[in-house]
Amino acid sequence: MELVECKNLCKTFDEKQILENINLTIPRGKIIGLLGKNGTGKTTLIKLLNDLLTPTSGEVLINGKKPGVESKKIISYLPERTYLDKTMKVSQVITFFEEFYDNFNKEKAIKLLKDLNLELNQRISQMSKGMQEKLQLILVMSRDAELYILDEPLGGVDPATRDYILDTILTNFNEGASVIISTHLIADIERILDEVIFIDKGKIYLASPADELRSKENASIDEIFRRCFKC
Amino acid sequence: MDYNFDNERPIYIQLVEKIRIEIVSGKLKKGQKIPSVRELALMMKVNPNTMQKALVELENEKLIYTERTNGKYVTEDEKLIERVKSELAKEKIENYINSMNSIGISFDEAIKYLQELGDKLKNKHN
Amino acid sequence: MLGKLLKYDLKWVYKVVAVFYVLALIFAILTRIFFSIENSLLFKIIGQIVNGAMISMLISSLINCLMRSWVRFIHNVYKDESYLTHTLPVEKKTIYLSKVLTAIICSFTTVLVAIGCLFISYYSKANMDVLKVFLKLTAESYDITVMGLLAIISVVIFLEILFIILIGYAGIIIGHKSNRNKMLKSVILGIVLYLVTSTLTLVVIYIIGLFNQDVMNIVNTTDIVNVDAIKSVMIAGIAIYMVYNVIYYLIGKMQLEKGVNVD
Repeated sequence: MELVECKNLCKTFDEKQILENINLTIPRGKIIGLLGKNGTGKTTLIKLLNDLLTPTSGEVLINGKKPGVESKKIISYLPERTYLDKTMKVSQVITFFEEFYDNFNKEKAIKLLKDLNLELNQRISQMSKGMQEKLQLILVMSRDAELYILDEPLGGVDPATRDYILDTILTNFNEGASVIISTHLIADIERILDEVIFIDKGKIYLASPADELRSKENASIDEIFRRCFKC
Repeated sequence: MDYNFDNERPIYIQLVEKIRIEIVSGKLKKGQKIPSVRELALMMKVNPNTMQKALVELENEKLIYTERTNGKYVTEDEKLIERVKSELAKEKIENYINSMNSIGISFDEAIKYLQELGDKLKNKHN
Repeated sequence: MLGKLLKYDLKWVYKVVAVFYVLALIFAILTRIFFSIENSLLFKIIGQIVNGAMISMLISSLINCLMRSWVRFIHNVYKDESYLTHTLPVEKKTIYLSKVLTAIICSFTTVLVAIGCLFISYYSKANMDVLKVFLKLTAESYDITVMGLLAIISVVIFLEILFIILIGYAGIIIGHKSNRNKMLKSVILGIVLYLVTSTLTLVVIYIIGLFNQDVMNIVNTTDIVNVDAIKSVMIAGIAIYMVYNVIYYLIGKMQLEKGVNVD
């Protein structure tokens, strides 16, 4: 059974088609880049996988089942939003995750927080947006999940932070698990990708193993992407 | 090992090249145990799957071998290492000649340059 | 999982509401103290002021109970925090049930604190006698004590508060099903639902009045209201609000289980 399967998946908002007939499978044990310009449907697809949107037609299957309690146990999702209750302290957020997710590794989270010099008794509201994003990444990567879905984890951060984030992802993802990374900053992450999916205007434009694509086109994924979607 | 990759060529091929150089240069000694795929991947900051693919390739070349449960080791076959080294050397020389040609220096002249400069460089290196 | 959700929901709502409870109780005690000091105009005036403060604290706690329940619901289920709420390994109906239980508990404690404050401020034999005189005849003849009647009224108020919160939830859930102006639609829907249901309540009471002359008198005459009629209406009110609350609970649950579409 595939980890993720989308069958004829469509999503429309007020007659506007955001996703059109998506057919896609995500295998186990791979790092997959979901690449596309802003506003092409990447986040919509990700939200459908996470039960934050309902399909207009077609279906999403996670381990053969529609998104629900079972899929939420095995998916660790980093949205582009800051989604924590701002009135809580870091330590309370850690407890919250520990209470709700059986696969949350508290020791790992605390260690990663220490590396970042984040105080456990700091309130979320006192943290900068960048810090909150790092905290969320730590929470998400501290789960022993089967699928990590990271929506624009590199958006709007400086190069040093970018390296930190990539390191954290690479070091902490569970063996045998898959990672979906959506981004439009391809050059920064392409070396860690097994597979790439180009998405454009709500459709899958191309899906291929990354190295195969490089050999075929004799160019970097970033370069190939630019060629495909020249403005 | 350097962590820089050229994104235009398959990453696994570049990994193979880098590790091959480590072996022929003696930084990885013959018969030495090499770290696990995951450790290597973290060291090089690449995807473990890509590292796995590179190691399979090196295993096909017999430069490394798997000892059932104990992990992977560098080959003990010195002749093989020497052969690979001379292949690499050949490649480097070809590259040298080619780049000399590209700036309008002929094959013979290129050799002469090398000999003339060779002594100076040798002193500098030592 | 319900227990864990409830813990966080209650904590959030009570963080502010509890402050008003404490303030209301403090002002209630002060009211009592200042009113009990005799022959001092100054203390009487201060007593009136703290009494007013107590009333406003009670009103604030009620408003906060309503508002914080709704705000929590919107934040948790539809705004940024929904990205966490809906990715917890919990069913949507459990998330909803936790919010409803929070509303029940908060409405209940608000009524309880209000009764407590009023009791602390005003309870005295003289005041009870005034109340008894006001209600006396029927209270005796229908074998119901003054306290009993007050208890029934409290239950009705509790159910009414809960009803308002649940209508708010239903308005929010249905309003957020559309893709535009979600908040505006939620508010309008909540108000419309409230007006429609309240009108229905009047119709039901009128129908009861057709069979019960005492109840009809409330509508028809300007005579002093018959306490028996109040009692009948209150008991009918309890039944009606119970039905409404169950209906709105089920509407909210069914709609939410169909899934959400968060921005």
